[in-house]
Amino acid sequence: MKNKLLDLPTELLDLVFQRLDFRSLLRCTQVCHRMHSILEGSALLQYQTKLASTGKRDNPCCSWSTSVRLKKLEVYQEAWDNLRWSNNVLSFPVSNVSLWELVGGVLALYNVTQHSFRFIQLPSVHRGVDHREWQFNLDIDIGRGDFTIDPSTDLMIVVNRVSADNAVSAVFKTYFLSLTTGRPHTKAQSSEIQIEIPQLAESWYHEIKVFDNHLAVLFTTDFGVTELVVCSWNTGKVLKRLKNVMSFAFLTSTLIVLNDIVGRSDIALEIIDVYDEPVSCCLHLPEPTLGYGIADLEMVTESPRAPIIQQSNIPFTASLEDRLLVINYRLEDSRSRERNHAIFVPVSVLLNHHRRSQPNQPIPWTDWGPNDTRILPVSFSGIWVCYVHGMRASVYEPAKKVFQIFDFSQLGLAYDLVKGEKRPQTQYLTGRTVLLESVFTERTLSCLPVRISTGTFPLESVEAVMLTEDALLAATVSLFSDLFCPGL
Amino acid sequence: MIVLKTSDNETFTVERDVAERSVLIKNMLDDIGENSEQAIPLPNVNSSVLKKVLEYCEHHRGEPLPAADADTSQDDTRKRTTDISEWDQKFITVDQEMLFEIILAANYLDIKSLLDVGCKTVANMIKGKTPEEIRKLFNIVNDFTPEEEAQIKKENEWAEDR
Repeated sequence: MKNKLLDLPTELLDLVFQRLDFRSLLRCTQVCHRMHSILEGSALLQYQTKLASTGKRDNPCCSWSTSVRLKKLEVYQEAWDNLRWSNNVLSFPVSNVSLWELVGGVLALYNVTQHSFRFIQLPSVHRGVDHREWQFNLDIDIGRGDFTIDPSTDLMIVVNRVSADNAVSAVFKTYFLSLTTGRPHTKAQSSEIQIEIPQLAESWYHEIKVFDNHLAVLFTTDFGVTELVVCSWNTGKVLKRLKNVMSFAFLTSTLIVLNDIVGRSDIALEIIDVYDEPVSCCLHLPEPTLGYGIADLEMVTESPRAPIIQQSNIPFTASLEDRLLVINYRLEDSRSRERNHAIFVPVSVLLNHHRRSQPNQPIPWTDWGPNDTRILPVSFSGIWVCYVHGMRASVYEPAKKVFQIFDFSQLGLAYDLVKGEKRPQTQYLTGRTVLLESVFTERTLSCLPVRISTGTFPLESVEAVMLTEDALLAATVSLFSDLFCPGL
Repeated sequence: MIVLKTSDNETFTVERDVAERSVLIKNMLDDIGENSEQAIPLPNVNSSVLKKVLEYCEHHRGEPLPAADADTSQDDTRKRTTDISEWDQKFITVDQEMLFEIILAANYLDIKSLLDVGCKTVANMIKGKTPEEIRKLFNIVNDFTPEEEAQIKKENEWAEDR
């Protein structure tokens, strides 16, 4: 047989290559000299590999040529590497703001005196995202509630308690609204549902998380009784109710990882399917030594997908193929002295274990933790919780006046090491680390590779830092005083 | 009706809107005028391939053609997805020799959507395969020295799943 693929003229071979992912392209370079010489050094291959190593994906609506998009990506990456702030620095006074959210690059602020919402789409100079603001008032006073947003589905969810304090049974109204208008969301069959929790309490805390069409709210009373309610915001149907949940996060739209330390002796992550009966996977966490109790165990990840972009001037966007889950493991001794650790684990790792797990067979920490996670003595803010984006997390150390960005993108790290292109001001942590403090019963090893970069803000009295796709946000001085956003 | 003449001297009589899926033929017809009885020679396409190409044109007749002066935006967008419609998928399920003949013919005749289906099909054949599997599938000789091969492999190691 004649060789028909290589008989194609180069411009036709190129049309084939344009439809391949970076991995396939790299494999093509290994097939023969002809393919190697077409691809090696081409803008297409460079762009595709750079997208992969920076955790981005191409925006198919963008009309620019491959080499223009490559150039944009190089500039964008360089801005992150050197933390080159844009000149367009934004600042948001939040003096009357009682509630706020930061999701998918949109900052939402609720003004408690005016009952008004202000929304800011944070700009990106290097990616071509415009600074956009809008606002509206709601008839509902959400003084006894909370809200969250998901720009990818134009969704705003408001949860508000309508029963009196100290009512025998608490009643919550949950509203499904359009993020752009504040009116009932057109994809929701009913614009509000009512959730009743037969529990007497003076005050309640709410943690609302949403992923695609599913929503989960963790209701917690002031004395620690909890109930997790999972529902579909499209149908308004409640799918699951679970008691004793301490914290949770969405892994996919139907899988939730949670932790229910109340009333059990072991400490574990449990993965549940919202449409399925009991726990389908259980992964143990390190146990604290005698003398330490769990003060909090909080899970933070960026749950919704990146907004779907239809703008043709945005060349690329976050791939979110994998996401980082940060588990804040807060321990305290009998004198309330805290010892904080963060366990970093990619969502893909949890999903793999879930796929392979056997019912009723918990996976001991030593069988998964040391290889698949990294534990570091890092203390994330419990208030400014929007510090995870994709495979990155950021933390601020007020004492040293520096922030750190932990980047767990394994492809990006491997790329840097192979190409010998180490990022500036960045530490490459690829070996095993052992926790010296003996707060856990076992010797706690972990080895998930990470890049840690360090930087400072060009301003004083920073309290905490938050992270989006294109920006770091600094919260300054006293709580709820100012948010400062140097968009990259 | 339009008469097309292939490289192996076969003639095909087709309706004008079917033939005009090919931008090449459309331009030729515009040049020679409406009522020419003359057969249009297609010296780069043989009869078995043209038969197949006309089957495609017949099925897609009446669909909007990409504008002649279209900027590349629409084109690029289509280029970067790999979905193929069910009918096209069935149509393009042919042996490799025919597949590449169709791609060459679609390029020569300037039928963008067919060229697109062909290139996507080849791309889908390559996806997920190792270099050795790609060589085997397309009958390509490995012309690297073992040293060269090891070197390229090493450079690309970062991308492989570990």
